[in-house]
Amino acid sequence: MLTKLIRHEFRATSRIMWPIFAGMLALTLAMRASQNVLQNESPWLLNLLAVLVTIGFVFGIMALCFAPLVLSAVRFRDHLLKDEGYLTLTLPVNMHQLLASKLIVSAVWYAAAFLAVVLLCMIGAFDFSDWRVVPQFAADFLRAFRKLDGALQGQALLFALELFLFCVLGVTAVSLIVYAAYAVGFSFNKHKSALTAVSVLVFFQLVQFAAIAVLANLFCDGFTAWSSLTGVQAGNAIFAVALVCELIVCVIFYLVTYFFLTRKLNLE
Amino acid sequence: MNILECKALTKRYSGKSALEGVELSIEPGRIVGLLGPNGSGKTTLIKLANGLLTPTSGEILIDGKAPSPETKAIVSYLPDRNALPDWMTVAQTVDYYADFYADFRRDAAQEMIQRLGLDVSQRVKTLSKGTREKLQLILVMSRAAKLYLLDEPIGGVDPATRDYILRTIIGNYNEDASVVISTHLIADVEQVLDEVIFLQNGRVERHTTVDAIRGETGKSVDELFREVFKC
Amino acid sequence: MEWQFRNDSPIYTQLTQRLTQAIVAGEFRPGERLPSVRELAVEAGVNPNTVQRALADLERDGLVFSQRTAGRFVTGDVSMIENAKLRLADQCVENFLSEMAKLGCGRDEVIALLQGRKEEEP
Repeated sequence: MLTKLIRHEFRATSRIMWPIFAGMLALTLAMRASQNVLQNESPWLLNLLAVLVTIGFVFGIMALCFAPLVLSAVRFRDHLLKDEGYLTLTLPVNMHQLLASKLIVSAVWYAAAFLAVVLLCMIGAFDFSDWRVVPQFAADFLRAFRKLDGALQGQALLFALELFLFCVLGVTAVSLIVYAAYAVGFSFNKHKSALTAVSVLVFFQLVQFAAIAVLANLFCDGFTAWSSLTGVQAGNAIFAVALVCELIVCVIFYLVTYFFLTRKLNLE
Repeated sequence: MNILECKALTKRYSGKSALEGVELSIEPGRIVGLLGPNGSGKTTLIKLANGLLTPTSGEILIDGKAPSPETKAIVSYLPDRNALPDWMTVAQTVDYYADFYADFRRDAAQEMIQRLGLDVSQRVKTLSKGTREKLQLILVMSRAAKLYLLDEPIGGVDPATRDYILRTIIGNYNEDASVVISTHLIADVEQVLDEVIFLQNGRVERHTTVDAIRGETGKSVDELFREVFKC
Repeated sequence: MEWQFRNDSPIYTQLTQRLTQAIVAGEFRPGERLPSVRELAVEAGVNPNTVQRALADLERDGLVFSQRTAGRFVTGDVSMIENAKLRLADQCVENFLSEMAKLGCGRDEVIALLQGRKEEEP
């Protein structure tokens, strides 16, 4: 059932995401074309247009970074808490499978959006007149990685993995905070959207306080312990603490979401 | 075993009682009318049976089990609103049901859709309200479920559509299954019912057979209902 | 076939009556296979259990017999159908007479009225 849910979730979300990617690609190509206009002596109207397209590209990239979050939030609301919820929540699946499918698919879209941003920036910046720069770039990248690996005493891959996990858990935590806010907000009879917004603010504020408290404890009280660690050791320790903290945030908000969706469900 | 059973079932919303100590059992193979004025608890009872609400106290059992993915697999539910994703095409809604419900009879659904003259490539969004309701009913009745829970299937439709809906229900439900039809339009459904349950202010006022009412009182269920719920 | 139900008596008794009429009037011919319970239910717009009950009544009256796999058939025994017709006709006459009695018409008067009708007939 989980695979069916995931497949369905992809079908429902890709009809939004692919057009966004396609639109951004078109915008990027338009921007490149407009760069040629800017370099030449052109009428002011064309220049203005070129500037606008470039500004549009910058905003588009920013929007692309937020698209997976917005999509995952809207999708959660529409699929579970609005009229469609009557169908979704009476499927022969359990709530864990439903939540897992949503979290997995939104994590994949975050990754896709990240890759898309990188690719679009490269397309926007590369000099296509000379294709030899591509292998050169790859070689440069590899060299830089080896250098880094040396500096990190052969642990660059571990750090990359930790960074990757940090990002995955991070986007999952953000999704879950938003899900929990929706689950809480929509458990009320009235003002569901407003109460969801309030919940989001309160939840993020609470997480922020908790993060500050953890940081204060780690670096003020335990400073002597840190000073005895090597740089690499300290790096690993920081990642470990961060990952555990993210995991705790995920678990807490998963439980809040689960509780409100199963025990306090209140479809309109 | 009873397909649906309520034991001292109570549901309160923020202190206000929607169902109070409901005792109920429905045997397999029956078509049951869940009748009562607006706000009598019909929808609450159906939502509880579907696990969309949890009881405040008491229990509700489907085929002996509390609502769970297992019971959802044998219950076919028609909500009182359009729950089909409106971006899907008609064909995609059929695929969706076929994908998730093992008891879905694709042939039956396709035949009914064809008879209705629906274009399967049309999006749900573009269908008229009445057609959307019919499509949803077709999907629900195409399942060979053990219990059909139909919430207000004939609310606000014209007589021809009402006939279509009732015939679709009679013609397609699984014979060993039970059908629960909630409505406040009793005259319209009376002749398809075996049993009726009168709900009043969240309590079961009466649970009997249609034949018993007609045979003993010489009145139709509709007439009796008007007497019981006289304002 | 017309399917209309009154409010004052159980639907299955009305259904039994309606089906008997159909057999007597030859809408279903002797020996003919009847539609299935589900088909009849859909056509009449009534509960299949009600149809089942009405058909059981007809079986008890001997107007209908069932073969385990093939379904239900109208009896081939024409005298049985003729009897049913007489029974129904008798009932009609009974009702008619009691209505006439309410108007204060005696038997002779009723017969005279009917005679008048007979002469009207082409």
